[in-house]
Amino acid sequence: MIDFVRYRKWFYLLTAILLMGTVAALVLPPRIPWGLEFSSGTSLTLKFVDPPDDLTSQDVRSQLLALGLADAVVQGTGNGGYFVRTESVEDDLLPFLELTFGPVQSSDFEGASDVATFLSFIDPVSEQELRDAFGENVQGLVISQVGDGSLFISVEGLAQPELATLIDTFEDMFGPAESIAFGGTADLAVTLDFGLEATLEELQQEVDQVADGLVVVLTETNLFVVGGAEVSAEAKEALVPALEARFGRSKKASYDSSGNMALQISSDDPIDAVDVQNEVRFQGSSDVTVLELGDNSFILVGENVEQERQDTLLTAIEDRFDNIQSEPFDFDAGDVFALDFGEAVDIETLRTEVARLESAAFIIPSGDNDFFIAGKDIAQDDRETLLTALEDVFGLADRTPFDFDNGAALTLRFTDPVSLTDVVDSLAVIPIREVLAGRAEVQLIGPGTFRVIGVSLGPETQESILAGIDQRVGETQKDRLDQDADDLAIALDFGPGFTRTDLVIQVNSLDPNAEAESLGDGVFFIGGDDMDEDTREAVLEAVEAEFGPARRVSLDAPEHMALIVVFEPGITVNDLRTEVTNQVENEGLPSVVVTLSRAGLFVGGTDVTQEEQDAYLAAFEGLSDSVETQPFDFSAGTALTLDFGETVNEEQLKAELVELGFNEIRLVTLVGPGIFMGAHDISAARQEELLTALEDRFGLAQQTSFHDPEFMAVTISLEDPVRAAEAVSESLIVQKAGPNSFFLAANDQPLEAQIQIFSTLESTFGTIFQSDYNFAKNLALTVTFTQPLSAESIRLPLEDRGYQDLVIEQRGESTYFLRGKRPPADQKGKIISSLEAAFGPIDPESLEFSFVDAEIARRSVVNTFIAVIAGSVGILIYVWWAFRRTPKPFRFGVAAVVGLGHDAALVLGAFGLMAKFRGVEIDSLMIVGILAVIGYSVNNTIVVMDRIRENLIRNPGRDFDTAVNFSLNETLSRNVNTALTTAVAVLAVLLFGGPTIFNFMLVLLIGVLAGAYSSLFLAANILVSWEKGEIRRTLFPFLRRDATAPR
Amino acid sequence: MGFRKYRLQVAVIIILVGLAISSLSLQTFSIGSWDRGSDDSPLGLRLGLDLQGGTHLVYRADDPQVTDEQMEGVANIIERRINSFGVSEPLIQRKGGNEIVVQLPGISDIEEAKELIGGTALLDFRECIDPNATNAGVCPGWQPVTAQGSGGVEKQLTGAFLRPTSALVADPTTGLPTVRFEFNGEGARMFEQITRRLQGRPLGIFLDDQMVSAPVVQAVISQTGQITGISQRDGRLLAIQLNAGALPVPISVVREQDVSATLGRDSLDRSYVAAAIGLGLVMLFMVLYYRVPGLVSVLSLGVYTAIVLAVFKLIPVTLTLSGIAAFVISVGMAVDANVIIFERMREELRSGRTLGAAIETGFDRAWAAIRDSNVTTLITMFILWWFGDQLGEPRIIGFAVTLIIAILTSMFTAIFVTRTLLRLLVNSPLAGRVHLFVPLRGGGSTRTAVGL
Repeated sequence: MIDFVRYRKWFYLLTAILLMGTVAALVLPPRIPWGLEFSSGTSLTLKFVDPPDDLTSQDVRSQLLALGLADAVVQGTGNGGYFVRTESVEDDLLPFLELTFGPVQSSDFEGASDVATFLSFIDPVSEQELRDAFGENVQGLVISQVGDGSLFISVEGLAQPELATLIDTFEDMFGPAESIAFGGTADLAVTLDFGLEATLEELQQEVDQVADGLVVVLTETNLFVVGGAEVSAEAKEALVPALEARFGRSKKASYDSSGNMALQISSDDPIDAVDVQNEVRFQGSSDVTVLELGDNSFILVGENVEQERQDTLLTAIEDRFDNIQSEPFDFDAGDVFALDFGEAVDIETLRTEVARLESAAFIIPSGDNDFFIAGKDIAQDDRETLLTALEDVFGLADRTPFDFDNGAALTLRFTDPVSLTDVVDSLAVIPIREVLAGRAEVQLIGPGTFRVIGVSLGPETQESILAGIDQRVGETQKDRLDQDADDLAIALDFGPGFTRTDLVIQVNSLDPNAEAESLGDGVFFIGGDDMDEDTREAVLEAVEAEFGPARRVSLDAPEHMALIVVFEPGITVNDLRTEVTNQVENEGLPSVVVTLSRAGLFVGGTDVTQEEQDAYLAAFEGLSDSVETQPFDFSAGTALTLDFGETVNEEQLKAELVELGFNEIRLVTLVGPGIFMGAHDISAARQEELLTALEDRFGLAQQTSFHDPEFMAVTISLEDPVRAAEAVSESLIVQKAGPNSFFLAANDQPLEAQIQIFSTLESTFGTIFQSDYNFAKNLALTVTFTQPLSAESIRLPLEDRGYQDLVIEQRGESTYFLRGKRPPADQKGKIISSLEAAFGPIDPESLEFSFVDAEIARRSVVNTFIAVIAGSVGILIYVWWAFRRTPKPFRFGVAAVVGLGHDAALVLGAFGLMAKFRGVEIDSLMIVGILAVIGYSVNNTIVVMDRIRENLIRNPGRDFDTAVNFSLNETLSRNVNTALTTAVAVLAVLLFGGPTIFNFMLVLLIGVLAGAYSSLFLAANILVSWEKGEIRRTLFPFLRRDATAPR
Repeated sequence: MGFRKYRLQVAVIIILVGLAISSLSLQTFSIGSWDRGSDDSPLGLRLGLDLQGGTHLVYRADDPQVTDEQMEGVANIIERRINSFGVSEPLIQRKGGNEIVVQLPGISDIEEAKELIGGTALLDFRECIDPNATNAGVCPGWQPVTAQGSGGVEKQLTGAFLRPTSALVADPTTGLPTVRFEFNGEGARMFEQITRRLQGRPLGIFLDDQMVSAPVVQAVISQTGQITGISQRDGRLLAIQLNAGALPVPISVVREQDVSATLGRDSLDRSYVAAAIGLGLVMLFMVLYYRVPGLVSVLSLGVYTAIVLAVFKLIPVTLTLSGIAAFVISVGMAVDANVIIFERMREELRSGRTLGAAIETGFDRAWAAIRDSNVTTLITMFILWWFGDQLGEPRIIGFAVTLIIAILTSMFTAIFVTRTLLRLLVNSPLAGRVHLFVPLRGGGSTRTAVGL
């Protein structure tokens, strides 16, 4: 017989040690992770279908950090899966953009005076046509209100006659205005760029100290225009030094002061640039730029970064990434310098240029037109060479005074109060820039300088265009590219699908003089001044080697046109379409299709009688003085409708045409469910070939030939430039959203402007179906960053965050319009789409997800306490009642509850250890485990107590502790056996039940053993100690005097 | 003779076991309108989401002041939406004053389902505040459109006046996804008045305060209308939602748990094997240790297992992973009752009683211990049940319910089945060999037989 009672104090000691261990396991760090049920949040278990080879939990975590989930916990699950857990609530896009790219200004499109809508037209409308309907944006125009009814206006590249028109229009709208032009020797108008340092208010304050009446205007982020009439020479001279004293130097700044940072870091281990960038941002140094050099090397640069901050940053990076070597730039050898070009310089172009010079320098943009160029160990001479070379190409600008010959800067003072919006709106109707006859492309290539390029224009057309321009803007300086033997002017056709960037980079790297412009649909213009024969051939061959053979159309022939002029007007497809709509509505003519072809505007329709055709031609002639029409030449072209059902769209067909080798066919237009197409200069055999090929591809088509008297197929050439473009607003955003479906958005449009937009559209394009943009699910936002970014660099982090179908449109130097599908509103969707974007698809079958909101979690905590307390009280009361026939039944209840408390505590301790060593969370399943153990162990305790009860009742004379000891020994066999059988069953499930319930069963196993222990060694002994008064003596010694002696 | 004496008890046991086994061996069965079982689960038991995969969702009304009728309406509409969505055996249950539990077993597109359930889908029609607007684009603002409904009362036209016949179709001319809806009698009369009044003016169709389309009224229409400009998927969901009706109050997800089907199936297979192994080991132990009574307890454990599983199937109780764990523990407890009895019997035998007397005394004396220990466990399990219900946590409820059923069944089998079987043995030739009932050596207290 084992004497359990005699050694009870040793058992108490053991219990105390175990409980201390429990407390230690729960309290000592690391903190015990509470499960979702108690802390709220989101958890996911997932497995990637095809994860990257070296994917680690850390990578997954980095990705979630990029998503803005700073508290995300990621654990490997051991079988190639990951467990993700986060409590973060939803975060906003803007804070994220600021974190990633530095300060941003933004405007959404949700206000009452904003427009954001989808438009669908019944008639076919192309994006270009819709854009044309609104005219081109006014470039470089700055308007600022400087007083009641007083505005400061400046624009570069505006010729005097245009300026006059502008003022006239303003006066027409707002009454007579007093205008003061700048340009006299006593006037000042200058642009200043201080990098990131100055705000408008600060600058204005500083300027006011120098002279009164000066106007400061922010044109783009940190590019300022300072202007004032009749400014004294002293003030003019004092101004810039004063400003520089206040804000630092505004141009070509050296980096070799200790306040600036230029540091190269590298590591042997792979490091992601985004991680470095994030780390830099987390350290609060978002003004430090990270440039990736490849081979795990990065350059960190920043202006005005104190030594202390540089050190902190470096330490943080060394902590975050292993094996970091760092190396500051050697300023004495002059490795680092900053460049600022006055004109817009594309970073790619600049890099290409530097690469071409075979210099080891690196370039990153550091502000508007500011570039940071750095390279290790570049000799003084080489440095000079590089700078000179770059200056040759881009022109190294100093503080340039405003160019008054080609620009305008004036103050308008209206007698009546006029708001800024009024003036901006009025600009909408002024034709600042017009488009030529639709066949010639006009490009802005510099201040006040444009290039006009046209293919197959014919000498007369060219002459009339030139005459029109002269008539409109006065004699202009013209420099024909095609008259000099040393010039290159050629159009290349690669078929659709080519982007301009591809070609421009390629061409520019070959010859700095050569330029490439897209004419749309894979047709490019390549041109350059003063180029010898060999260079020209080399450029063309290189381009073709890169992109495949192209159909070359030399522009040297007299019937083509390629020249640089200043200013232009034009007529658009839309003018013709409007005319067609008028004719349909007013004269009852059948509807015809108008589309752009290289030979002119193409007009075609089915079932148009000869009279109707004539009526149309008469109407077109009324539109313009000289219209040349020529019937479609069917012997050399094709015009017919093909109906493939509804499965083929325009893009598909065009792509297919290219694939089949019919590159020459550009005139393909979708008209309703069928497809209308037509093309010039195709032999009859080729036409046959085409039809067969298309039918092979898309199945049999229903064909309607236009080669019939009642069909109309005609091309029209308009030779008289007619002013037609109707501008609506410079801030209007137009994007294609589907076939004949567009997205349209604008900020701050007063109601009248909105109405005007839609009436214009409806009268131009016919019936509109409109549906509002759903901001809850979609994004529409204009953001302005402090530095120019590439669309791609904005896209990637957004896609990482689960934004989809992103359309990013550059609206200014560092201003972008963002549109796309927002990530799913819930975190699950966000996390999944973000991880899938980074690491490939997730196996849906592996996915487990859990979400608990804060309210539920709070309730869980409360309910857990209630459950544990209610359980204890319930057991106490029941045992009290069941043992009512024994003396002091209450003590049995208390002892039972103490026993189960002990078991619960040990189980909790076991959790604590598992949490520390196995990463297990304490969740509701664990509460189940504790309660199960309580239920089970109280079962054991009751069996023992039942025997004590029986023995006490049967032998009332016996010692209490002897009775207890007897009872314990009598039930020992049963207790051991029960614990064993239960443990065996639990062990079986533990070993074979799989990972999902492994932890749970481990807890149960520990609980079963703890329960057996407490029943035998603890609960009964408490009764003995209580009976002997030990509890009172030990725990409540102050009660000794009042207490009665133990019985 | 002994058999005849206890034939009633034996008959009850045989009938019970027979019923249990037959109900388990039939995958599905129905008596009248009473259907039980399922074709795709072992023994036709109903499986919880963690074993067959699926989604457990708890929705809460956004407005804390929500009334009881509104919540009832929400539950009904969710049920209708889910039924049209095609989920087999969904569970929609109200919980507390403002929550609804939705369980969707074996569902593949959870996001779509959530969108379908959670969307308020309040459709209404509006006219432009500017009577001269001829197009939605030129409309400065919208106001609800009203017309005379039944009884000459001026009413606002909303989705409440639709027949449950909305459908997603492809527009014959544009081929775009279009949701076509049909007004009921009153709605049609109202729509006719409205379209007559709004000739040449836009009619805004708003879903949850968001304009989905705004066609210009071309002709007087009464019966049908359509919504364009939505995606195929949204259109499908919208049609279902329109047919089921709008939710009276907006709701949102406060608890979500998704388990993939393969993971569930894997857990199920594993836990079956584990439970079987556990049961086998326990039975082996009992036979080796307690000999003939051990054999009896194995039989009784078999009866116990059959009855518990049958009860699960008949009630039906949803079997969860934690339920299987509870079952394993309950095996230990069921054995425990037998162990208590056998230990008692052994004491009685050692104190010199006959086998028959030992059995009867053993049972009588063991009863109090068995009762008290099981009642305390039942108390904790009922509390656990309440806890799980509060938490909306099916795993906890599964555990508690399983253990409650198992404890009640184990008390019955220990007291009734084991006892009857042992009584039968008393009159068998085995009864003479006491050593088969009392092992000569064993663990624990065998050396001291203390009779009291």
